[in-house]
Amino acid sequence: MKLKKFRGSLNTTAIYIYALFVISPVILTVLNAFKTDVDSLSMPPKLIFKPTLVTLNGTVHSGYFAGLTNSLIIVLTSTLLAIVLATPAAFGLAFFKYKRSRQTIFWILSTAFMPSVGVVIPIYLVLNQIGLLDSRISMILLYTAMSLPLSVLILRSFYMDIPREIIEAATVDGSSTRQLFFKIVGPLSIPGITTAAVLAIIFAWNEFLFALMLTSSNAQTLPVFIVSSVTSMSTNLSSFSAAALLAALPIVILGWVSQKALVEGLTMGAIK
Amino acid sequence: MGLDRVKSQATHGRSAMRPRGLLFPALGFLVSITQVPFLVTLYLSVHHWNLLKPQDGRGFVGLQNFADLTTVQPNVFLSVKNTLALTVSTVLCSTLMGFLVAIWLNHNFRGRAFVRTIVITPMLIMPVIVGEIWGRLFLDPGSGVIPWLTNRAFGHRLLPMSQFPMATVIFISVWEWTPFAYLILTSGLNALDKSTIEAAKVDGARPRQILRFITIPHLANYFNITLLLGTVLILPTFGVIYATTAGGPGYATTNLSLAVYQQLFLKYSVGGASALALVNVVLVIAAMTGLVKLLGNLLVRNEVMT
Amino acid sequence: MRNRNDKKHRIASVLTVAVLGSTLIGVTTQTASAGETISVAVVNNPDIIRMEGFISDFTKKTGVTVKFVTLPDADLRPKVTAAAATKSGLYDVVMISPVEIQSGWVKNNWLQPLTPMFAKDTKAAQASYDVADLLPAVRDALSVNGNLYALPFYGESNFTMYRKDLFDAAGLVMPDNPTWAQIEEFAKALNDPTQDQYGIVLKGLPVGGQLAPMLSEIASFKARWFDMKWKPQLTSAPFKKAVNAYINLVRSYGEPGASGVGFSEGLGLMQQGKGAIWIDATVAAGLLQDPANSTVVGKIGYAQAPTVDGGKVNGSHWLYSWALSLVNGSKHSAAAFKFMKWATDKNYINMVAKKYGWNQIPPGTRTSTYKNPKYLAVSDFAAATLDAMNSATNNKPSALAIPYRGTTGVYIPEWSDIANNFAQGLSAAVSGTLTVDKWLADSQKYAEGVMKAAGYYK
Repeated sequence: MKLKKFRGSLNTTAIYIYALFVISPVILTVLNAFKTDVDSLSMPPKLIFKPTLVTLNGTVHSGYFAGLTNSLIIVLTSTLLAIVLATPAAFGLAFFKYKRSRQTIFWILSTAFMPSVGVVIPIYLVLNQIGLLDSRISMILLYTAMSLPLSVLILRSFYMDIPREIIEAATVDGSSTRQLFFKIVGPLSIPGITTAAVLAIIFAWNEFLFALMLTSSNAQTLPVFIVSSVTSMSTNLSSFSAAALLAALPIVILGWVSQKALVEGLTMGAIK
Repeated sequence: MGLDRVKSQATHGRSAMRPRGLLFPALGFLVSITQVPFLVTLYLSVHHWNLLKPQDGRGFVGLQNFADLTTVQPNVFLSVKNTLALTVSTVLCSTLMGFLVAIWLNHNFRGRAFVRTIVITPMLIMPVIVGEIWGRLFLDPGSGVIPWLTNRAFGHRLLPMSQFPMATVIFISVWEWTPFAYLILTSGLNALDKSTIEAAKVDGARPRQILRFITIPHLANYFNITLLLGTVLILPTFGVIYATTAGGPGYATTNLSLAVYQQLFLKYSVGGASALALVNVVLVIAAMTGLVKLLGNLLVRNEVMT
Repeated sequence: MRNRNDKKHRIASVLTVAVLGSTLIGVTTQTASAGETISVAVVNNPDIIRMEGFISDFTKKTGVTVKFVTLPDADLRPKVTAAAATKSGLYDVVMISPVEIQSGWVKNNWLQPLTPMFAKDTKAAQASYDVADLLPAVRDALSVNGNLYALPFYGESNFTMYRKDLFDAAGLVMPDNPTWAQIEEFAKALNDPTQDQYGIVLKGLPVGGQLAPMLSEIASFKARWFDMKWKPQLTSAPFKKAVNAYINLVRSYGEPGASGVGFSEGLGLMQQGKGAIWIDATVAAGLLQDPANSTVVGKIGYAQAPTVDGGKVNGSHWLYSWALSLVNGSKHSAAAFKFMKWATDKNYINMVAKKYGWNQIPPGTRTSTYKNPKYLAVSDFAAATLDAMNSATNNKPSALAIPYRGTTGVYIPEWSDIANNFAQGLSAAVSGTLTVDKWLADSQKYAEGVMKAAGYYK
């Protein structure tokens, strides 16, 4: 018994060491955000130093809130839109046999294959023509299209995982498709929606190339804001770290918070 | 039985429209948003257009842009090779790592939730930032931790970005993507019925046997998704490479995304970039088709075994 | 059952309102505010960030609001080029350099000429701005056919910066016009890697835009990039000699991992006191004197950029400027022009001097600056800077016969392509994974391909 407990503690310690190793770059960056520029460049990295809010303060006042607002509006709206569009499609693909089910899935996936760099000029041109460059609407529509394929696939998998018995029990009492969806499958798909939404939010939040090329002073998002803090004239390590910290914090918190809900929601599905 | 009833409702009468109607919003949206740029890219790939030299015009050049791709540097074959090497290595390693970590963390211990949140953090950070952090903090020859550490310890500066750039980029990508595999496989582990494992233990099965004959086959679908989605998401890797090696030294780590970037923003060749982008799409479709077939076969084998 | 449905419907309606609401907010908050607004795209160098800090002064004086887009050069370049090439009207003012002006932007009709706009100003306004006060070398670099196309925010050349204290301690004396052989001797003497001190700091970043010091070094060996028929000369004898000298220098006495060193990394190394010699932009001198970031304030001496025999050689140092230009097709030309003048006039310089001190003003734009005793008193680098800028030869950057112009880059649209390929090889050679001969042979072939495809010769 004691040996088992000892091995257990050893194992746990090993886990913590691994976690520390994984997170060390992030920790260093966070520490750097609280240093002055000079401090941040010293080697070995100063673990004990006088923390200061100067750098963070400077960063917040150089466009952070504008970027944050844009990111929030664009990412949340596009994710919502993607889920709303994806849900019926995933439902259909999961429960009905279409003649070209496989091809449709494939085609949906393939729209995600075009590298951003390859389509940025065409999209730029099109938006330029219709006067929608540097606008939140176009970013919202773009990001929705980006999140849609993944959302459809994830939701479809979740729907397919719902045990047959539940579906059959429902249809036996004569539920129509709509009732089947809203009353039975809908509630059970909350974990799936959460997963899909969180993933969509993460990828959209961190999207860089379209944000860089298609926005300017009006619709600039946080990733562009971070890059703008990397000056080409000095190794502004602390400014960069401060910007990275402020920009990544919302999404990291979201990931942490929803990770719990994610895993728990999924386990709930397993326990009928 | 019940589902057939739903289906028959679907094919007879007014519900016949319902199934297709379900797909329409998503498909309609995707078509209008993605196909137009795709068609424009197609058009641009067979025309000449240099952003800096508008006086050269935007004439039709047939397949010239594609032919040029084989002679320009980095040529398309090198870019494809690098892309495949990077993608395959990253996908396999991150899936394996994600699997190991998922198994490792799959029991109750103190601070489990806390460790889990730490483990998934790499995936939540913007790729360019990931590259900058690793590039500047750890790998920078002058101010990075690793060169300094190895200098102190062995008197010789290790310079991963110059000496083994491909491995460096793969390492950073794996760091970034392991949480992705971990999340999916953990969901799979959680969906595994504990009672099945208990029963096996009662029958005297050892941990390794449980792993091999129960856990892994159960996770087949989840591996499937991890590999497929992982490939789709990792193939266009750009930010990490851009912020560390910038495709170098030479063109050692230039993949298709970077090559397209160079075509567009260094050569200012819209035609060349579009042609290369199409090559990228073809490659991905080919990879996906191959992957689906491969995984399909594995799945069948698994089902036969269990 | 009923309750759950109601709740769901409620949630659904709330969500719908939220979506519509945020979209509405998103759309409406983009409508223009009262008063004119101009959009300005700039590079995020410290001097320019400071300028953004002063912008309320401009808005108060003119009622014009300025929206800045501030990015590193590598990210700004594609944005502004795409905007200009597609006439998207995203920017009214764009920060550019002589390279863009001379190698295509003017030819493509992307910029508005400023000389006519000055002519329309009142006599008083003209006198106050004093275009004639702009340093002739800089004015020339920003003009085409006598027409000025941009107003300089700061100007620079390059020279040799060295640690006076280390030189004194080792009994070494840096001449005003050193030869490369002398530089090598000094670097060898002061190279002490065990003490984290490197004889010389040289770049090796695989980025075409960072090649300027290497281009100067190559020209200073009396080599050229193209002959009179536009055939690339990367494998010619003087070119090879120059490149070999550079590589030997950096690998023997330079900082480790030079393949990752660009301007900002070099600056960092010098500021931390790790380099004995640094040959790069004159604008760095002011940064090295900034006590907020530098540990070597007051310890830096200056000499001209090295040449192969110590005398002046065409192209041995460059002339460069970050300047504000007016995009053709802007709907706010008058307001934009006011801004450009505001950011580059004598009053602005005085504002910066008052707040940050005279040695922190954006350098290299006006003759009056270099005659100002207050400036000269605190800027020991002023004389060397002016000398370098005035003696730079943008119009003939090589001792040999050449068909091209340009010191920080050859003024042809194909340059960034050739430069980037060359820089990739530099990075590999500097880290020892590629021989100089192979690098030059490959880049020669590459350059030939580009020039042929562009029609310079058959």
